[in-house]
Amino acid sequence: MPFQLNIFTELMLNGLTLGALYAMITLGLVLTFSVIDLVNFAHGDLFMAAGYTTFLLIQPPFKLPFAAVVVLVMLLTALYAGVIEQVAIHKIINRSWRTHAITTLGVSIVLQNLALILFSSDPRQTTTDLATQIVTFEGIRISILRLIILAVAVLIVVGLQWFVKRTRLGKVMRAVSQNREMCAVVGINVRQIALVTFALGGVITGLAAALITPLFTVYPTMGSLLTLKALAAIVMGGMGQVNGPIFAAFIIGIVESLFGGYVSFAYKDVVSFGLFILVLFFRPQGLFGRRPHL
Amino acid sequence: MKAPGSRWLRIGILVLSGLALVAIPQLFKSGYAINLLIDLVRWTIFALSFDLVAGHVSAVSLGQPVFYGLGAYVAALLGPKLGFGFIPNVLLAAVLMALLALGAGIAFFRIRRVTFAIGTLGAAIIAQLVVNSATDLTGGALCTTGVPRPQFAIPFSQAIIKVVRPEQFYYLLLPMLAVTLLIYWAITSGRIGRAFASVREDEIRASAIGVYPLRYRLLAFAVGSGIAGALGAFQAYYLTVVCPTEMSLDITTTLLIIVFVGGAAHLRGVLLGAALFSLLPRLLELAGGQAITPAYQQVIYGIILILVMLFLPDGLDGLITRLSRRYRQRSRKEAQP
Repeated sequence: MPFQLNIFTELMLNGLTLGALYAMITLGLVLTFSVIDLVNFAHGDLFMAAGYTTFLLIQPPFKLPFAAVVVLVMLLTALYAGVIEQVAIHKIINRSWRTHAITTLGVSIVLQNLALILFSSDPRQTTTDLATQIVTFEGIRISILRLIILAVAVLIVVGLQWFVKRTRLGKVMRAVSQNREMCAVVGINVRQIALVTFALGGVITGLAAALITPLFTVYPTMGSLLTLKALAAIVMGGMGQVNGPIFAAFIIGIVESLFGGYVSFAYKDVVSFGLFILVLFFRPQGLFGRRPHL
Repeated sequence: MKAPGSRWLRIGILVLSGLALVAIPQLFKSGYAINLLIDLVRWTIFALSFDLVAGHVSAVSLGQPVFYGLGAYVAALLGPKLGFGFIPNVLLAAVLMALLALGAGIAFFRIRRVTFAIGTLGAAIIAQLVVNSATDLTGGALCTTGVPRPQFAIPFSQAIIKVVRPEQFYYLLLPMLAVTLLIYWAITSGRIGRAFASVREDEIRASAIGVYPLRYRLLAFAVGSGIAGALGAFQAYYLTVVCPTEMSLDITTTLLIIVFVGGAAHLRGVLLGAALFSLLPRLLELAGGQAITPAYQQVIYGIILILVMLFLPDGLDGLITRLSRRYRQRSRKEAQP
């Protein structure tokens, strides 16, 4: 197959969209990981729940306009995340990582199988006008929705930086991430901050799911792969950082798209895991991380 | 503080249940009973292998189905090509899976223990995907078929026993349980067991007193994965087909629930959990009249797992210990008014 520039460019653009999706999912995970030191194995399943919500709201009984769908899904996903935090996480927040891992895995199992019961294992697909409208530029075709996703991902990353550095709530969240006991001493309600962090992660996840669902399919077990890719991005970018994982998420998206286009479509999901293993072997502190001091 | 007679009591219970496991198939010849027993013993072995890692060194391995499934594929694809019989094949699967775990463990145990959970979960998801896609090697969703029946030559005669019936397989599985229990006991008691405990409780202190955490984690991970591989090889012979579903993530759910509802890092708890969760689905089936679909079962399991983590962090084993302690204190108070 001769090298064709426009195919390469389209693969790159696809990769960037994928990367934007992974970045938004990773960001939600990074939030809970850095603020309350919790690795949420149910994060991808939250995205799955948001995806099905989007699907339901666009489909016939509701048929809401897309903008309304996006806003509604953001709010609902924040609600889901809040409920999950209150039910499963709230009580164990100060316990070991093992308890966190097993509890969130429990949540993941419940969500996946509820989806299986409610929607069956068939992949569901829906679409919206924005996904089918295509702009052509110098022979390169891209749907408007993909451009929107890219712009939104950049906005969220920048906006979250601003939020964490400049607003009072953001500063409190950073304080909690540094020293939970001290925060409690000076009168910060740590459990409330945990809930807010979860809900904020839900808003970002909901936004990502609402924008992406018209382009892809939703199915009950989609969350596992997404959780894995987001976790891989966190490890690759350096645990305890924000910008590293976001960058790593884009790398995973682009490499996956190029691999799927040029090498093998069936094995494209193996790429993220392969990168993850390589990083663990050769640069365990992450691509951009400093060596941890233990 | 253990009661003086408790050691002999425990040995007695172990011997009795061993005898019962050997005798039951002779008393109840129904296929249902045999299947149930095979299930019970299989999950017990599996849970013990999982507990070595997740319980004793507190490294939650979510990749147990990988080693189990790959062990099955080794027995189905590699062993027969080498002309191996049942026992060499099971050993081959065990050794290969232990080596694979060693290699993977070196990467996964880097930085934090969370990366181990992430890495093993990743391995589980990716292995299933690869096995499904590599159709020319594994047959993909159509499964690898035609695993030969195990054959044993009887010494000093020409007779050959071909293992076909479930109860024959059951008697192949029992020695595997005995070996697993022996290995489990050997490495969780004594010096290595104490090293496991120190790694589990506080790894910085462990390294300060000369216990190198990585070495003991790798040991537990390799042994646990080796046992899972051997069990997978058995399963391949038992079913004569190996499907990608053998690597399903539902296996991890069941292992988590057995070990953490029963009581992690406690033999009694793990045995209790294995008995409970291999018999419970059957009992529910009997009570409900029809099989509960796997999805509903998984939802129930997930909810139980969350509830136990929230309200019973030491599992049933911890609950029993607490209750018996309270009972003993009360009877002591009554003895000396």
